Order: sequence, then C-alpha cells, then structure tokens
Amino acid sequence: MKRPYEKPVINKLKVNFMNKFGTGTFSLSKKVRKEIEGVPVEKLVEEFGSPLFVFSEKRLRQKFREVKNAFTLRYPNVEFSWSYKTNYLDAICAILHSEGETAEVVSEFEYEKARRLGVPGNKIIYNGPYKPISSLKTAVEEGARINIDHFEEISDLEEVAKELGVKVKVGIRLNMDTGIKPQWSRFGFNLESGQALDAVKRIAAGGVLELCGLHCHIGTFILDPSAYEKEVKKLVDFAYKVEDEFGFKIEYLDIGGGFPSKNRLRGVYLPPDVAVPSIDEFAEKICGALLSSLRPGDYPKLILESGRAIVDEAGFLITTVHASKRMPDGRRAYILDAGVNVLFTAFWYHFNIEIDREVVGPSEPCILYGPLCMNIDVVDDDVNLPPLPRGTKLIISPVGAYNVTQWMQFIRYRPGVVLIGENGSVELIREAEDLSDIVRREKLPERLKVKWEE
Amino acid sequence: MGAIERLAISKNGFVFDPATGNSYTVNSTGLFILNLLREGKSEDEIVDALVENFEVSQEEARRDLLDFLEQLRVNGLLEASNV
Amino acid sequence: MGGVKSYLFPLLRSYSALLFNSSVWGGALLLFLTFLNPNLGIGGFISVFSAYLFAHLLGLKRDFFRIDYYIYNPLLVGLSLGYLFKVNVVSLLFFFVSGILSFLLTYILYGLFSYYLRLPVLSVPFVVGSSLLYLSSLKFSNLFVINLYPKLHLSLPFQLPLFIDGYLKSLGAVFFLSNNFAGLVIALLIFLTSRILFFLSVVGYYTGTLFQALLTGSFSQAFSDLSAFNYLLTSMAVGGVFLIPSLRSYKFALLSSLIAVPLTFGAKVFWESYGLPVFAFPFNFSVHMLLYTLITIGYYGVVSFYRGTPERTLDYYLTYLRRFPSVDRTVSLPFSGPWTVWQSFEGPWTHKGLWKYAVDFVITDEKGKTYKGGGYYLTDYYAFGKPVLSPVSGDVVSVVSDLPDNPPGEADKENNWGNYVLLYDRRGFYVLLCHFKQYSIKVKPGQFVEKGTLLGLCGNSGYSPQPHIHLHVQLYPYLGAPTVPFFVSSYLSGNKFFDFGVPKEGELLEPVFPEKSLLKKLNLLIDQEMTFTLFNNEKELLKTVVKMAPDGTFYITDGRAKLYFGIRNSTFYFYHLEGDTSSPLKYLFFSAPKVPLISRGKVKWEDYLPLLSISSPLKRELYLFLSSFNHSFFKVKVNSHFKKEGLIASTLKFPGGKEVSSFVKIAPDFGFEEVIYDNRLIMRRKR
Repeated sequence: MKRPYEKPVINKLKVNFMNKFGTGTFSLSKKVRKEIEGVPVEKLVEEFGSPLFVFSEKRLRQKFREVKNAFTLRYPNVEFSWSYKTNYLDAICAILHSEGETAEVVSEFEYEKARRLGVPGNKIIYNGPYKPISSLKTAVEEGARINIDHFEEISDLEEVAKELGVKVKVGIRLNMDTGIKPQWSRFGFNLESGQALDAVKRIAAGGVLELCGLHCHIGTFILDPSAYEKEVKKLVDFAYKVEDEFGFKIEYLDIGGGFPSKNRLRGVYLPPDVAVPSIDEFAEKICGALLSSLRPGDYPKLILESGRAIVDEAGFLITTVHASKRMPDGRRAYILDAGVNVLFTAFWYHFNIEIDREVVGPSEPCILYGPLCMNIDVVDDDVNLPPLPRGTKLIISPVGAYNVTQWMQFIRYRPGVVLIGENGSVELIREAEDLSDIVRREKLPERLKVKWEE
Repeated sequence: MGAIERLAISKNGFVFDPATGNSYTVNSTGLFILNLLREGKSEDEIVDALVENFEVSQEEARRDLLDFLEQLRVNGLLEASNV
Repeated sequence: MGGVKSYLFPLLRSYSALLFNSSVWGGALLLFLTFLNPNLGIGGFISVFSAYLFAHLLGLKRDFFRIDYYIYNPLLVGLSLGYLFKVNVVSLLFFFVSGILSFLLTYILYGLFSYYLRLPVLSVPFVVGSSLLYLSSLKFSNLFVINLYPKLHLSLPFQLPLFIDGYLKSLGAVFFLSNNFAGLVIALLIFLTSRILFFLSVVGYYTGTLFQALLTGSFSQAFSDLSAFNYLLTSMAVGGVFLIPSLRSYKFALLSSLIAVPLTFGAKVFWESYGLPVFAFPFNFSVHMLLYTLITIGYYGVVSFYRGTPERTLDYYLTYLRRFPSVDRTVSLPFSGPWTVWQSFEGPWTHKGLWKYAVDFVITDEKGKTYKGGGYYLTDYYAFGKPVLSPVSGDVVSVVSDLPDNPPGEADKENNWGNYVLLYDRRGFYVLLCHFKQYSIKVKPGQFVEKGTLLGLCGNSGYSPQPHIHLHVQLYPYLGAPTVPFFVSSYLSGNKFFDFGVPKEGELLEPVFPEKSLLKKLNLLIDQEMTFTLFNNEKELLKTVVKMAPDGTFYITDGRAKLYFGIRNSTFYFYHLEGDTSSPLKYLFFSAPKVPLISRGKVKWEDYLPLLSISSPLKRELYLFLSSFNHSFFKVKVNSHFKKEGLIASTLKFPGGKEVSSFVKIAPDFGFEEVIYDNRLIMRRKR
C-alpha cells in the first residue's frame, strides 16, 4: 500500500524568536481558490489555455454600483465616465456603458475605439496632452467634451471653431497643490501660479470658445480622501471666480479618478483592508466639500473618471507553475508562464496569490518569476507558499486595471481574456495572440530576404 | 558519510545536530529519505524506494530528492559532493 | 393708423364690456346699433369723449384707455341721456358736462368700493350719475321742452310670442335700445361670443320674470317690464363672470336672479316716485351682495382674473387646477439619489391620527434590503450617515442635535422625534425632519437656508428602529403639532417625472435638480429674439421676442398673442396663451407645455392642455360649455418623453379619441430650434 506523497521538506527551527507564522507545519497564509464565480479554474484553463485573464461581470457591475451609489446618495448631479486607459476591452466598456457610464478617452485611438463601440460623440470626454488637430476637429463635430491641456490646444480649437463656424463649449484642466506628493504639475494649467486664470482670459479674449467646465486629476492610487476635499474646494472657488468675472457658466466639475482598489501597494506595511479607505470615505469628503462650498441652488455636474476602483477587483489572472528552483540563499523560486509582460502592475503591487488545489506541506517564502529572460521579470519576491508541484495553477488578483492595456507584446504571446457572465456563462472576449499578430504589420524589404547556404 | 550520522533523529521528525546546536523538523517524506541516507543508499536507490513506497512518479521523486539534498546542503548537513 | 387703433379699440371694447366680453367686432356692432337711433349714439359718444378729455386734463389719459369702467360708465350715462333728449346745441352741452360728471363719479366710487369693500365698481357710477342727471333735467325745462322726442320703434318684421319678445327687448334695454330687432342682434352676438353667457342670460331672464309673474300675478306684465334686464345681467355676472362657471355658480346665478326681483320692485318704489327708472341698480346691488359674501368667506370659485369670456376663464382654471394641484405646501425630496418610501401618508405603522401626513424614506439595495450583511451595525444600513438636504427655503426654527443613535431594532420612545430640524417656509407652514445622526446637524436656529442645503446626516435617533428620514408638514411651530397634507415637487419615480405628487409606499424616488446647461437654454431673458419660419401651406415668418408683464411674469410675443412661460421647481412651463389664438405661438405651447430640466435618459411625464388646443372651434366651444356642468368631463392629456437629449416627443390625447403627435427640439444656444405639431413645422432661422 503506497502512502500519499508529500514533497520532502526540512525546516530549521529558530529558537530565539518565534517564526511569525508559528512553528507548526501549516501556515496561515495558504489560500486556495478552486473556482472563479463558480466556474472551476481547471475547466477554464482546459478550454482557454494558460495564462488566462478572467473577468467577473457580476463583480464589475456590483463594484460600479457600489461606487456610483456612494456618490449619488450624497450629491444630486453625478456622472461617471469610464476611463478607457484603465481597461478598453469592448466587453468591459460595454458593460459599464450599459450601467450608464459615458466614455473618457485620452488619445485619438481611444476616441476611435469608443466611437467604434457605438458611443455617441456627445457622450465622450476627451482629455490628454496630445490631441492632434484633426482629432480635435472630429471631436468638435461629434459633440465631445474636450478638456484643454495647454495654450497651443486653445489655439488649435479656435482654428477648428472658426473653420466649422461654430462656438465650441470646452473645459480646461487644472493642476493644483492638494497636499499629495508628488504633485502632478505637468498636466493642464497651474492654479496657484495664476496660469489657469490666464487660460480663461485667453479663451474669453478669443471669443469663439465657451468655457463650461473644469477638469482636474490629482494623482493615482490616492490613500488620503482629504486631498480630494482640497481639490474640490479649490475647483469650486475657481469656478465662481470664472463665472463672476467672465460670465461663463461652469456646468461641470470633473475631478478625475485616482481612487484606490484593494490592492496591496509595495512599500505600504498595513494590509489593504486597513490602509485603503473605502469609497464611501472618499465620497463623503468630496460631496461634503461640494455641498458646503457651492452656492445655494447651484448643482454643477460632478464627473468622476474612476477606473481602477471599479474594475481592478473584477479581474483575475490564472497562471501555471512551469518549474521550480532553489536559489543559492535557500529560497525557493517558481517560474510561471506569466510575468511582467502581462502583469505590468506587478511593479506596484503585492498581489493576492491563491492556489488552485490543497497542497499539503508547510509554507515557505518563495519568489515568483515570470517567463521572460529579463532580470526584472519578478511577479513577487516574497510570497508564502507550500511546495507546489509542476502544473499547479496560481490565481493572481486583483488585476483588472491597467494590465490588459499596458501588457507587452514581448517574448511571449499575449494571452486570452474571458468574461464570466452574471449567469455563470464563460465567454471569450479577447483571443490569445499568435504569430500573425506579431508579424501583421511587418514589411520585409525584398533585398533582405535571407538565403541560407547549404 | 558525514554530518548525517551525527544527527539525532526522532521518529516524529525532530532532528538535532549536536555539532551546531541547531534543531530542524522534517516531514514524513524527508524523514524517510534521511533514514535511507543514514543507511548509505545511493540516489538511484532512494528514488526507487520512494516510488515503491509513495504515490509519486519517478521524475518527480528524482527531482524532489535532488531538491531535498540541496536543502540539506544549504543547512550544512551534507557536503558539497556526496554519495 | 396705429394711433387711431389705440383710441378706437378700447372704446369698442367698452361697449362689449357691458356684455361681459372684450370683443372688438362685437363692440363695433353694438356701436352701430346705438347709432340706429342717432341721438343715442351721439349721446353715448359725446359723453365718452368729454370724459376722455377730462381724464387727459387730469393726466390720466393712459389709465382712461386701460380701464374699462372709466369708459363704459360715461357711455351708459350718455346713452341714458340720448335716450331722452335729441341732439342739439343745448343737449350736446348737457351730454358733454355729464361725461365729466360721470368720470368724476366713477373715479370716486371706484376708490370707495375697492378700498372699503374690495368690490368692483360695476355700473354703480352710471346708476348714480344717470339718476342725478335725470332728476336735474326735470328742472331743466328748456332741455325738456325742446329735446324730448318720441321713441323710435324699430321692430322685426314678424310677430314673436310675448315671452321671447320680452327677452329680446330686455336685452336691448341694456343699451337703451328697447326694440326686438336690436335685442335679436344682441342675443346673436352673445351667443356667438359665449354660449355660457347666452345660457345664463336666458336662465336669468326667465327665472326673474317668472318669479315676478308669480308674485305680481301677471305674466304679460312681467314680460313687458324692461327692467327685467337686471335679471339677465345679474345671472350672467354671477354665473359666468365673477365665479368660475360650474353647476354651483349656475345655482348662485339662479338664486341671485330671484333676489333681484324684490330688489327691483323695492327700488322702483323709490326711484319711480321721483319719476326715474330704476336703471341697473338691482343688478349692481344683487351682484355686490353676493360677491362681498363669497369673497369674505374665501369661496374658492371666485374668479381672480377674468379672461375675456367665461369659456376662456373656465378653460384657464380647469387647466391650472389639473396642472398645478397645489402651489402652497410643496416641498422637494430632502436627499440626493434614489431612496425608497418606507411609509407614506396614513401608513400602517406610525403614521396615524394627527400625524398621518408624514413620509419615511430609506435606501434599499437590489434585493430590497435596507442594510448589507447582517444588519447588526448601524453602519450596515445604507441610509445611515447619508446627507439630509433641506426640502424648502426657509428659516430654521429649532434644532435638537445631541440625542444618541439607537442600535438597529431599538427605538427611543421618550424622545420620539430624535434629533430634528424644524423649518419655517414663508409661504406659511412648518417642515419637520427627524431622526438625524447625533451631532451631525449643521444648521442653527435663526439661520435662513436655501432649498437643497445640507442640514445634517441621516441617523437612528428617536423612535426609529432603522435609519431613515422622516418628513412632514405642520401649521404650528411646536413638536407634536398635527400634520397637514402636502405635495412633493420635482422628482423621478422610475423614469417618470412628477412636478407634483404624493409619494406612495414602496416607491423608489429621486429628486430632480435643474440641469445647469438646460436651465441656461430655457431661462429666456427679456428682449431675446427668436425668429422662426412656419411651414404651413406656404412659408410664413414668425418673429418673437421675450417681454415682461407688469406683474413680473414673462411672455413670448409675436405681436398677435402672448405666450406666458416660467421656470419653477426644476421645470420649464408654458402657462397660458392670451390674445389672438390664430397666432402660431400656440403650436409652441401645445407641443411642449412643460419641460423638466433634466438631461438624462428616457424620462417621461404627463401634462394637460387647455381645451383651447382643440383645433375645431365648434367642438371646442361645445366641450367648454358642457365642461361648465361637470369639470371633469373633458381633458386634453399630453404624454411626453425625451427621445434623446434636447428632443421632446409628445402625444396629445383629445376628448373623442383624436391623437396628435408633436416634437420640440431645444436649440444649442437658447430657446427652441424646431417645433413639429401634427403636420406643421416651425424652424428657427439661422443666426
């Protein structure tokens, strides 16, 4: 009778101080996940391969509604605009548009993608420092809301306005000191130096543009709600200054996004449940600041371009353990089939790593390497895992934000993306890439065709 | 031969090295291998024994044995060249 | 030419005013009738003319043309003198002086009546003036001898039965034209102007004369008595002019005609002992008595603004009542976003007895639960800690803010209102909001807050088993005062917009705050011009401009009609149309009688239009006449929705089943871009 097998492990006992996780053979941090939203991980990999991005429609909708309610129940005029750069997959955008979000784009390609998806021009907010004049013309013709980043853009828009013979309603982006370091001072017009007021004067003087909104985006993954409070107060003060001195009517205040998700930032000691304020805390500060700073009866539209806070926790990545190594300093390392080529955000976070099966054995600190032969390709340098046999699947989360937009076409093909619907259905929303995706745009000059000598 | 002989190994998997004063724990598979090493068995023999006694494939057993030996080396319980 | 119009029209209208309407053509016809007896016509005219000159001397020239009683009282006096005396130099002078006298009497009597009695002066100056002048003329033997003349008898070529003849002659007697030809013309004139007035004149006349006949014993005498015109005037005034036409006003009309009978006879005893006819004294007296009583008791059916004919007044009032069920005691929802009504008026748990007119609001999730997780902690409840906004603009009367929040399931029975804010709305009522979170109230007594201001956070203090907002209206400033019914304004229930409504238990409601950009587009300012092209059978130019009326309300006018509009409670309204109803401004009114100032999704709403919107005049007048008997008979209902941003599609349902579709497109800068009503297109010209 053969006994059940466990990989052999020897553990040195530290007598002077207790191991944080006790002296037992089982550690507390072993997390097992056999299925995502009821669909077995094994079945997903069997059908769609590994690595595989998995999104949950239910989580996405629930999270969006949670974020939306936090604000709509505190301020009467709110619009959510989906930040395409966070995740521009058609299916994800379609889900969020069906929940009532408009589209926020920062480039011509994102603009075109939104239009291709069927978003009408007047439901698109067009931000960003680089907007070529042809793209501005299209945006104006289609009624998009443009937030201006710099003085040349003002001139460009005036040219477009004159060409089309219309008066264009625009917003301007501001940057300001809200206590957040580093201050994002490269986007928009600076408030404190008076540059923002100069921009308003310039617009008023031009006569063909009508200022109707203010835009500001103070940073990313911000952990301090009071920074938003300062932002809102400064925006409202500036808005009234503009209204009173120039006669423009400020119809919207776009405070951008930057709200955090429950991901664990590198360098932050506390776990995310403690370190990351809930969206309600942000909403309370923001809406409270609005209601106390606005003039009675005045309810300009509050636009939120939240991305990460909505989609991050709805995305998972399934990856397979390909090999294991023992490093010279004794630590165990695993080589996975997914690395920083598909998990760009690995540079910022310690993800939540879950195993797809029960593994008997004590956990030890391990390094997770990706498949690239690049030294920086480390998914995580310190994860407590039991000894994993080859073929074990790891489920990494939350990865819904930025990874499917910032992934590299580098060394390995980009993997497929599936969506688990609210009813449990599994649909492929982006196919895994193959060679044709790599070579499609290449043109090899005839003279360079290689002839091999036998 | 070497440090392995001098180790005090209990049936429960506690291991004590009188030379360094360090204590270790091993799991049942590790204990099995340690005892075989003490008997002077070679790598191949140990692999065969593992396959015979445990639900494990040849490859995995060999792989894990090599890794275990590495762990022993790291802890100073085995010399660089052995068996 | 325009100058002559500004003199002529008020004059003609004052002739019509004697028949309670303001028709220019009717007035012209009446003027013509008076000139059939030239002495009559000239007498009337000279009297008015001299009154005008005198007013001009006093500097009241403009008022003279604006105010009808300044014209029709001298007119009546002049007619009464022209009835007696034929025109020559002496009588002309007499007419001239009487005009001045009449004007002075009118001015003084108007002042007395309006200040002391708050009543309209009617034709009292005429009664007083003519009585005085007739009396004086008894002594003016020169006038008497030379100028009296035999009465002309214009009469219809055929014989009519006495009771009809009597009616016609009495009608004519209003203008001192006591012949049945004039009476027939006047009867037709009244019928064409207003079926209600015609109906009332008939009812009044016959009620009065039959009663008189019963009392005196002679029908033929009753029907030949010309002072019976008082009965029909009384009936018309009470039933259709000073009261909103309804079954009840008709009853009042009937009764006042009856009262007029003994009044007439009593007065006759005095007047005729001096050789004077009783003129319109019974009419004035009976109408004044009734009006004074009804106004003092605050009877709701008294007309505050007579719109030219009883039909138009009725239409205006019915439409107004349907569209605006309450102007006082409206509050908006005291929160932001979608909340659910937990308990409403006469709710089954605590809204009973004196406190039955109250509403409780909570927040529910998709499963209908008011909390997440197990509901063990207050913070699990969605409503807890959410902002409570002021439902009215008003003064903060009292505040309690330091009571603790009870754990879920427990309630404080001692301080059952919990932490509260009591507000006073200067329209004359108090609003109470309860169960605030401890220490969260941000306002202080004595402070004035605008609607929508943050008052505090929702909590669970007082008699509150779960966090909720309690709202009610009361008429006294102490806690525990009885509650009174109220309306909630400007909210969405699902995707249906209500500008006035009462929340129902279980309903999911959301307040609507005006969308700034839409507000800017529809907040039309004085002197803003909109020029349209009307595509009917040919192209027509429609130039409109925005103006303000003396009472501060705004209207759009094309010179022919005035379309009154305004913005109230997050909604743009077209209130009513005045003037020439053939003006294409009516299509603007009918296509979008109201526009909620939201630009979100497929919102739909309902409204009503006056019966004026019925295109067939025959049907319209018939429905209006019948509506006076039962106010809920005929309605024109409009169902509208936003087809997409800035485009409103409506369906109008007329009584009888006809349906008309209309579209309105809002312009990107201000006002309206396009209006399509049925098959008519009105497009804004490029600017």
